[in-house]
Amino acid sequence: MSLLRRDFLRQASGGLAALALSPELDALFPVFRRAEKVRIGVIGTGKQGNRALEELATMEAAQVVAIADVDPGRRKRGLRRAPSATLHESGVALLAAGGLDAVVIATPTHLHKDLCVQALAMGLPVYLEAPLAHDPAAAQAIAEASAWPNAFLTCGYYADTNPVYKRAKDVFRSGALRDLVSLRGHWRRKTSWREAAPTAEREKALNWKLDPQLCGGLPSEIASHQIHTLRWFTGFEPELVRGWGSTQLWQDGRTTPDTVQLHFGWPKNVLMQQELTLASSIGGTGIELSGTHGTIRLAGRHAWLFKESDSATQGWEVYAHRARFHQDEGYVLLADATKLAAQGKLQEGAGLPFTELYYALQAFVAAVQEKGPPACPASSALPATLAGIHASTATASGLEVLLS
Amino acid sequence: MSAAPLILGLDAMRTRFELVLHGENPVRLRAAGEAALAEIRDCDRRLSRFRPDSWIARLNREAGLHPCPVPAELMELLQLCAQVHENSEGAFDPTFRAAPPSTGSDSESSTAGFSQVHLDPDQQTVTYAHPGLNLDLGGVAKGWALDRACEVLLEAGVECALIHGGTSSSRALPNPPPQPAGARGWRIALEDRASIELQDRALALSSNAERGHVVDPGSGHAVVAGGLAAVCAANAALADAWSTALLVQHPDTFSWKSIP
Repeated sequence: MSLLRRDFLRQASGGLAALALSPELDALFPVFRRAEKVRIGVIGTGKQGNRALEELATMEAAQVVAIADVDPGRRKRGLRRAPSATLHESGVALLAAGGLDAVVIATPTHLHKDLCVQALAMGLPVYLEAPLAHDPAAAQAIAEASAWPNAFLTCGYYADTNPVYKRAKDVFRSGALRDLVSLRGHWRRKTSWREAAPTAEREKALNWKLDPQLCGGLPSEIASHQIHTLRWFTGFEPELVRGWGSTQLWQDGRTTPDTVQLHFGWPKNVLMQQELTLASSIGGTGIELSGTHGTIRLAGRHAWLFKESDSATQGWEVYAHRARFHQDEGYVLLADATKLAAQGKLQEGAGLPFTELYYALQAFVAAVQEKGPPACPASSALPATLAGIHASTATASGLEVLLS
Repeated sequence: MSAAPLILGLDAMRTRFELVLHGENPVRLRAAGEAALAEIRDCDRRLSRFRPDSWIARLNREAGLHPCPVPAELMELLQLCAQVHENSEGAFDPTFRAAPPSTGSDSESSTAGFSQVHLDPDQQTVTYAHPGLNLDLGGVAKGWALDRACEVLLEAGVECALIHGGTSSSRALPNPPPQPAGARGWRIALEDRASIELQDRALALSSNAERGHVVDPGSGHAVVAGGLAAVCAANAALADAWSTALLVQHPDTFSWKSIP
C-alpha cells in the first residue's frame, strides 16, 4: 500500500482535512482511494472463493492481484471475476510469488492449516473461511499461529460483522428476552452436496465434504456457524452435545448423513436444538433465541424481535417496521435503519443492502488498511469450530460428548 | 448414454428454469445439474433489481452519484447490452427512470436511455449520467444465467443438455439428444409458426400478447400486440437482448434473426 487514508488525513492541512472527513471524500478523491487499495490474493476459487471475488470486485479499497486453484476450470472461472489477477496453480505458489498485502483462503477446510500457518509466518493478514479446520489439532495449530506477534487472522463466521446481528445482539443484551428459555437453529437445503468433474480423480478431490476422513459433514461445516452466532450473542459456551444422523434422501453410496439433529446443552439448563438437512429446503436457514419476554429470529440479512404480550415496551418499537409470520408479529431489527433510509439504501422489509460475506470482507479490508483488530479472531472462532467437530463425532458415535 | 433424461428445475427470476440432461452416470449428472441450478440462482441474486444486495440494486443506488466498481462479469454483460443497444438503434434499452417526469416529456426525455450509462472497462466502473436513471436487466438476465449454467455443465463434463428459462430462453449444449435417433439437435417449436433444431446454440423468443412486459424505449409504453420475435445466437444473453429489440421494432409480425 502506498498511501493509506489515515496517512492522508494526518498529512492534510486543516481545511482540507475537514473536507476529507466529509462523506464527499469518496467522490472528490478517487485517486487517493485507488492508491490505498489493499492487494489481495485469493486461494481457492470454488464456490466460496468465487463469491469472495465477486464481493471484493465491488470494493474500492480492495484489488485482487492473484488467484490460485489446483483446478484449471476453477482458475478460469476465477479469472473471469478478477481479469487482471495473476494465476497460480497452488496456494503455496501464490504465497511464494509475493506482492500481496493480504490473503483470502477459501480452500476445502482440510487444506486450511498449512496455507494459513504459512501466510501468517510471512506476516500476511489472513481471511480464513469458516470453520478454522477439520480436526482439533489443525484448528489449535491455526489458533496458535494467529497468536504470533503481529499476526492477523479473521475467520469467516459472519455474526461479528453482520450489522443486523449487531443490532439484534444489542437488543438481546438490553434484556429484551429476559431469561433465556431455548435456542434453535435450522439449515435446510435440497441438494446432494456432490460436485461433478470430468475425471474421477478430480471428482474425488472436489467431494471432500462427503469424505468422513476429510470433513465432519453438516455438523462441522454448517452447524459451527450457528454455534458461533449463539456464543457471540449469549457470551456462553455449549457444554455438551448429542447428535443423530440419517440418510433420508441421498442413497448414493455416501457414508455421511444427509440429515442431522443436534442437541447442545448450554449453561443454565438451556437446550439448543439444531436441524441440518440436505433433503428438504422449505424453511431455509434461521436461528431463534427464545426468552421469557420474547424471541429473536435471525435469518442472514434479516432479524426480528417477537415480544411476549406481558413484556415491557422499550420505546423504539413504536417506530419500527413490523412483519407478520402466521399468528406472530415481529419488529424488524435493522442497524442504522434511519441512516440507510435517508440515503435511499433501505427497501422496507428487504434487509441489508449487501451480503453477509460483503460485510465480513469489508471489515477485513478495513482492518488491514487501518491495522485494526480482526472482527472474528481465531480465539473467538476456535470454540465454535471445535464444537462443530465434536458434534460430528457425537453424531457418528451416538454418544454424548462433553465440550470442555 | 441413458435414453431417459434427468430433469431438474428451479424457480428464479419470476419464472421456471428447467434442465434436461443426458449422460451415463446419474449421480454425476445430478451433481452437475445442481451446480448449474446454483449458478442460475446466483445470477438471480446478482441481477435482480428488487434485491437490495444485488449488483444492479447497488448500481441503481450509487452509480448516479459516483463511479461504481463492478465485477468483470457485469461489465461484460453491460458491454453486450451497449452493443445491442447501438446496433438495434436503441430498440433494446435496459434503462428506465426511477419516477415519472413531473413536467412535459420533451424536457425529460434525455433522463433515460442506455447512452446515459457510462462504462469504463479500464477502471471497471459504471457511472450513470444522473441519479434518476435505473437499470433493469430483465431483458437479458435469463439468457445470461443460461450461459453461465452451460459453462458449469461443460466444466463438469456434461455435453448433452437443453436448458430453458420459462421456455422463452433456451440453450443447447454441443451433443444432440439420443432420441429420436439421428436428431441433429433439440427440436423446439416456435409456438405454432415454425420449429427449429437447436444444437450448441441459444434461442430466445419475445412475445407480448398477454402481459405487456416489453417496453418500447421510444414511447415508454408497453408493447402489447400479437407479434413474436425469435432469435438464434451463439449465446443466450445475446439472443435475449435481440429478441426484445426485434419485438420493439416489429410488434405485430413474426420476426426471425439468426446471429452467427
